[in-house]
Amino acid sequence: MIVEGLQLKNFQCYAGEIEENTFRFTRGLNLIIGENGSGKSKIWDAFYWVLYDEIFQSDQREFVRTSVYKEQLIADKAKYECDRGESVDAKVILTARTSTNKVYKVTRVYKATKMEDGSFVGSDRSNLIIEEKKSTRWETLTPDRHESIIDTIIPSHLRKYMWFQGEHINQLMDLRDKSALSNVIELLSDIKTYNSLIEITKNGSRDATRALQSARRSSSQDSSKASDLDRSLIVNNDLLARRVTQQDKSKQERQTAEGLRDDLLIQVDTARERRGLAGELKQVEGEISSLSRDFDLKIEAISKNLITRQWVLMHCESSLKKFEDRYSEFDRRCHDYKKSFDNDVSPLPVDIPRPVDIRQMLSAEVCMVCGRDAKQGTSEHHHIAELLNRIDKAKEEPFLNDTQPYLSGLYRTTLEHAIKRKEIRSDISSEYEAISDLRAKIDRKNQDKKSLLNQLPGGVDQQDLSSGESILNQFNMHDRRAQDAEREIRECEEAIKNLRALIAKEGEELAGIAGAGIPLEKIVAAEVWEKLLDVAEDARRRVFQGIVDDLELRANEIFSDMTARTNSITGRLRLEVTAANTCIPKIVDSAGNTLAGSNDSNIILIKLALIMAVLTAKQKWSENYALIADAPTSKMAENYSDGFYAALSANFEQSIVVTYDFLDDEGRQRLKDLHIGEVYLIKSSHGSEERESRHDLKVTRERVTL
Amino acid sequence: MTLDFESKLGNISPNFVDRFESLVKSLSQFGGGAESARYTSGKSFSSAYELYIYAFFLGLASDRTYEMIAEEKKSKFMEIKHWKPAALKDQLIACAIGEAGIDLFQLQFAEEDSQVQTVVREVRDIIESYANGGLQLISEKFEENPDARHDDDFFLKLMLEFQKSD
Amino acid sequence: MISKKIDRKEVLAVLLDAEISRRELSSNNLSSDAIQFSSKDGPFFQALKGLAIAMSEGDGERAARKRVNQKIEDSVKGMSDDC
Repeated sequence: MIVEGLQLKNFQCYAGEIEENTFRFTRGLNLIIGENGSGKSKIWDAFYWVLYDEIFQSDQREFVRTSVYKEQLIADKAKYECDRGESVDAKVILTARTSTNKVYKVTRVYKATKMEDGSFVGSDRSNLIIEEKKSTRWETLTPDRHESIIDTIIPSHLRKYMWFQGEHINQLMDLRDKSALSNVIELLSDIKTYNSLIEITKNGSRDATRALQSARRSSSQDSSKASDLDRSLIVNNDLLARRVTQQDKSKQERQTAEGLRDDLLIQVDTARERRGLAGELKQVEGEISSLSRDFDLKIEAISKNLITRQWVLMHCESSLKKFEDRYSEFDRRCHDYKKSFDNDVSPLPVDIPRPVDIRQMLSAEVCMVCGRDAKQGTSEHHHIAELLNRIDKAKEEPFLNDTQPYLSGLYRTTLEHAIKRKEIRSDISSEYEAISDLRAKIDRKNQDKKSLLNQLPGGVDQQDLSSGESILNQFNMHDRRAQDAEREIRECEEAIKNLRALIAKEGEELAGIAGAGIPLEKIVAAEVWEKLLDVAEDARRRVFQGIVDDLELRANEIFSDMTARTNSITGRLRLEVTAANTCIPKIVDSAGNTLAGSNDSNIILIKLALIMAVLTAKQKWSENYALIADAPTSKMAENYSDGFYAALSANFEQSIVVTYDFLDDEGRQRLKDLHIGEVYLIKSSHGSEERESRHDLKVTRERVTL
Repeated sequence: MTLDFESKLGNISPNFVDRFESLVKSLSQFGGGAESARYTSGKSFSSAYELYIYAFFLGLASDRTYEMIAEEKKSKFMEIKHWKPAALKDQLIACAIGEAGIDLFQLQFAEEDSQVQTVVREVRDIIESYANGGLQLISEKFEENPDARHDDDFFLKLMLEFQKSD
Repeated sequence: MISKKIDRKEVLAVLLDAEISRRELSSNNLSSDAIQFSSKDGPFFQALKGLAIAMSEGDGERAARKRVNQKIEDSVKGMSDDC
């Protein structure tokens, strides 16, 4: 089916009549080139809307039905120029020619009426007309034929692969989705035929075997034993079938789990390393914090120490010396004075003789020490009487205001602290040393921290400590799942072996007690069907592998064509078929090792190559249907996109691409060697000065030749 | 009998000249205060008397005295007897006595309170003179360099400047 | 969902291909009636043909099985007629 033309009337920004907005297409690569915002995406929208009655809303990223979108379909300029009470319509016409030269015209119209207040009321539905060209006239087809005609233009199951927008390529072919490619293969190939073959032969075999057993039973010499065996055979066959299914499932489980686990392998190592580094970092930060605290405390304390560690005394030796000198002199004089003071007092100790003895001597008028008389009025008597006074006098202090205890205390204090004062200088030094030590330690730790951070690009966040956990957990989980699946596979294997042996034995037994007269065809049928089942399963495997091999080959051919113009390391696509007949796409290097982190342009190209390989495979969709793409190269670098266009022109009978590539003439020269169809340049313009106004928005198109 | 030289000395509440009031208030937690409060208000001395002690020794080390004239308004500090640490207070008094040139021996024979008070006043004068001298020096340094007050080791460094042949 | 007609020759070829290589792999599994199966009139080959036709005609499952069973029956009858 070749798309011959697309015509727009008042469709979104394409204000104006059909003739003003007509695009013709031919075989080859057709291009509609325009800046972003010039209206080129609306052309893709037009294709989609005319056939499917839906518009893609880019902000909501979803398709919206006409019944919802309504008068937004109609160009603002047309709505503006419409008179109140009048109606205005938007129309899109698509013309296509089939491989059998049938020509169809698909027209969709949407109408709205302008109310008195200037608002629009649109109908709930659009109108679809499909016509077929019959020599010179157009014959309108009945609505019941619409669906099949549209399907002829582009089959519904191919639609998303052949009519796509560049920003959706990633979803189209999500390489991480293991079933994506399998779905594609199933959808686009006749693999389903083989699936149904298997169903048919499975059921056929089951029925034929049952029929045989039933015949054996009825002809049996021991019918009760035969029916027991028969029942048992049915049960065991059923069990066998279930075990086989279970085993297949486990094989798939294992494959999936191993795949997921291996994907994480790199991440696990990284995660472990990051976790280690993050832990180290945390520790270093803790050390820095505690050292900084100590440092701050020491700094704070510097002034404090002047008082608490008596650093203020650092310069007062001379003053203290003066005090000490004064005190020494004071002490000496006090001592001397005291001495002379004491000399005035009797040499006798104060309490000898006792006062009672003295009084006795006085009254006796005799000295009891030396025995001499001491009559009253004599000097001897006076001397003895003076002894009494001595006690009193002895109680006299030499000083009226004795400050000596206090001053000697001061003196003692200064002496006691002399050593401490001498050490002030070195105390200060060592304090400064300690401070600078701390500072150096902090600096060293900060260096350590910096180098740790360098090994952790992007820094550390809580994620790291916990995502590291979760990656490890996931890794272990997948590993466990793989092992569990392995175990189940082995168990099933064992059970299957046993069941098969049992079934064979029972079958033999049953055959053994079978009588004669079992119809030959029943025996033959059972055997034949069993073999047919084997063959069908084998055939499917081969066909699937064949498709995959073919796909891989083609995709890589297309891919290397596309990347021939770039120099970067590219990689190859490899499609791995798993035990459960699913297909996992991988990107590998020349040695077959999985490439991680291919650049984005590579990956997009590989996806496109895969899509194109699928579309150009046996069914030759690429011959029969047009590929219509909106900005497919939007995520690619320039030298990559050239390869893409070359591949399109080489592989597709017709492609229609809306793009912002090749805006300038020079750029378009790069297309010279390709099979080019029609090329249009479009520009949007405002007739009036007012840039914001959409009332005057028009799109002009210009057909160019290369 | 003593006329309690010790307790009279203890009762000295030395003055500082009013022009240094804002300096004192800005550098210390006037009236004392908890250690932590001192830090948060960013003052280098927790109590005003600590500043005074420092100022005295600074004055002594730098040989700066301030002439305390009667006309100049003055404010009082806490009594010396409450100053801590005690050993430091004692050594401060010792220095003051050393510098004061008092005849200690004669003091032994003082008969009246007033005689002791005179000596005590002399000691006080010495203390005030050097302390206010020290405050003046600090004040001058701040004027030279207003940022100095935010230096953690400004006071220590200032003191270290004055090398004396000890 | 597959609207295109399946090429019966293609299906047959694939099935035969599968059978041959399967035999090569398990050559000691051939049943005693192998000779019959290897002949073009034999029930197995006829059944394969019937299957291929059923696929290309787009038979439903029951119809397909019926067709195959019929082929088998006819072939067996033919065999016993020969005997």
